[in-house]
Amino acid sequence: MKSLAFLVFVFVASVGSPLIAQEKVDAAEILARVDRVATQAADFTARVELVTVDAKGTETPRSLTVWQKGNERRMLKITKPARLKGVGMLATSPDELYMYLPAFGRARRVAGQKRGQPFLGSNFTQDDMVRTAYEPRFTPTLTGEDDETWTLRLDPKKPKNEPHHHLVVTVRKSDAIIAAIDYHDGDGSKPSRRLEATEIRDVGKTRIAHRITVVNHADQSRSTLVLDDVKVDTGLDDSLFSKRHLTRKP
Amino acid sequence: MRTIFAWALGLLAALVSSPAAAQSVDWSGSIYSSVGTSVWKCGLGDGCPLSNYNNRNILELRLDSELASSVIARGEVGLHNVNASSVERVPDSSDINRVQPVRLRAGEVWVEGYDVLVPRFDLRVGNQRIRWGTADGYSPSDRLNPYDLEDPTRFDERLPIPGVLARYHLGDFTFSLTWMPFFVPALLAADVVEIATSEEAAGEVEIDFGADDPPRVRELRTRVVLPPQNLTEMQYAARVQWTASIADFSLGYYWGRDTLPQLSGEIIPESFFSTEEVDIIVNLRYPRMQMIAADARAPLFGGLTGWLDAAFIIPTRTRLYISEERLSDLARLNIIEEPDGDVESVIQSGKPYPTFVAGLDRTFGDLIYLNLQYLYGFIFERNPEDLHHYALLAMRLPSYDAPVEWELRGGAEATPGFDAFGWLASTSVSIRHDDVFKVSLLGLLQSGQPGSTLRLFSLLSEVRLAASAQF
Repeated sequence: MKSLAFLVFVFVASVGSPLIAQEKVDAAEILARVDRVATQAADFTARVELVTVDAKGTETPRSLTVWQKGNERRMLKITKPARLKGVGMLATSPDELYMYLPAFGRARRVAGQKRGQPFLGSNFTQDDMVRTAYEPRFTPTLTGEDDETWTLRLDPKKPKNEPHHHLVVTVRKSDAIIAAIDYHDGDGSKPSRRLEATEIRDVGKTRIAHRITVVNHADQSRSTLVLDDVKVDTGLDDSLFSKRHLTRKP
Repeated sequence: MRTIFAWALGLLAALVSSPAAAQSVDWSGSIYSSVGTSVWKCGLGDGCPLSNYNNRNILELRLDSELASSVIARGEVGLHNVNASSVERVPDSSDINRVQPVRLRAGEVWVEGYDVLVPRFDLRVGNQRIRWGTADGYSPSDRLNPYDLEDPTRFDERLPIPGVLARYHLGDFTFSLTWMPFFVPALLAADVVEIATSEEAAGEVEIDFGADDPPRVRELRTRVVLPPQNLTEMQYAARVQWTASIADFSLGYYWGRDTLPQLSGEIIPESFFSTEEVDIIVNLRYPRMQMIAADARAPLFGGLTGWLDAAFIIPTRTRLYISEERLSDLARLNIIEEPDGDVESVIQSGKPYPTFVAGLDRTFGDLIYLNLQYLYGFIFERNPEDLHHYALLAMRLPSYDAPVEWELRGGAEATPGFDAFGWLASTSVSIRHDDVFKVSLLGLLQSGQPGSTLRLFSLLSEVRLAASAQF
């Protein structure tokens, strides 16, 4: 299980980042911009409220604190509900992933292949949380465009390594923030989930989507992730992203 | 123990009242209640087949406090009500501690400083659990803290004990030193005491009194001999952990005691009822042991995580013996013939032996979590020739944190010569309401052929209904 911090980062852009909406660009360049603006902030900290509403209308809330530095260092700790309090996850590189369960008393290294698994029982998957960059993993095709957005189809370069058949991504021309993702699974004929990023606001010099929602089309369940107390470029030390800190009180 | 209680409560009070902690005290706790009954074999008490019908009620409170940016503290206390009345005489009926026993238990109570004096040096002082090993469930190298077998099916639970843990972090390495100034024995449920003191668990205890036709031991009474609380009885441990790119490794050394009691020392004939029967007294001790521990854990291919958790135990030799002098006394009573020196029965040979767990786990999408482990040597197996083989499988459906969960566990045991086998099977269904309240129904069956350890543990086979809530 990995951190959700990067998911948030995907919906980050630098304020005033001059993306020229009118110029002709190809799919690869758009995707490169998405990756580039998503990593402009050096580090990121936020409190996150994650609420899942199932098909019967039952709400399941989770509260977390997340930290991210660069593309690879990520950590999260669950603060609510009480039964999950203190559970932590740490990623220090694509191959180094740790989970801390307070009852177990030890941070344990785990495999990172559980990417299609639900994240904390929500409609977000582990893969939603860990994507570090699209360009190395996907081949983009520009499938649509309007005044405000581009639509890209992303096909995995190594389908066996990916949990989805392909993605359809809507990118804002103004700042290269991803506004929506349709996840196509199975034979890829229709989307199984849709992710939307809204409430895009500036935090310092960085523009961040403060609300991200995923709807599961199969049962119409919905998970919403809301950011609070967002901080960027605070100079998080590398040493924060360690087992030493993972096991500390949240 | 009273000192620890006082210490725990004092620290809790201090933390709560500390002005520095006023804004960072974080309370949490849990309530647990269960009703269970043994189902397989009759052991304690009367009323078979539903023997050992029991009820446990536990309230645990914990506070965590960030006293300063680099100082944290934890305090835990628990109220444990295990409804096993011990009314023996009429006046006992007016004693609530006998009618409805309640225990106040100190949990972890410690203060930890980060970057103490020098950067990357952490120091934790107080009643604490120091967990070694990386296996799931029972870990052979997790021996620094004594077993907490109040729930006799939880071989992964440990009692916190007073100690000092110093850690220094240097790059990918963490070096730690542990000092435990007091010996604390394992907490054993009554069922486990019965198992631990059984002849099967203690080894081949043959008290033949050096005679061809020895008297039958009518009653074997035990006395516990704790090591003295002095400077020579301290326990130490050192460990280095290495986070490498492909795996996490650790190597450790422990010098302390076995926290499970063993029959050891002189056999004292106590009373004779005829030339054919004798009552004896023997001591239970906690022998010295050393341990070299190593573990590794790594993500493998195809979503698998693998681990190896090993302990090389260097025990001390323990034996039961009856002295020539006492044998001569028996001879004078015509119970046995004239002795030819002491007669002894070796409980633990003192030969070093390895014990380990190797395991794999994997999650298959949302559907199922699978965990497979091989265990060589289990609790109470203390001689190289006594180490049994175990294959253990656990699965949970669904794989993620869901309101309804189903767990299945199965295991098979083989004795060293593959001449006796044991087995276990358990299942539980848990339903969680409103993310807080959890109700579980658990069934555990285990048994085996004579000579298997799981046959010993058949006494622990049970059905249990439990409810818990965390806040």
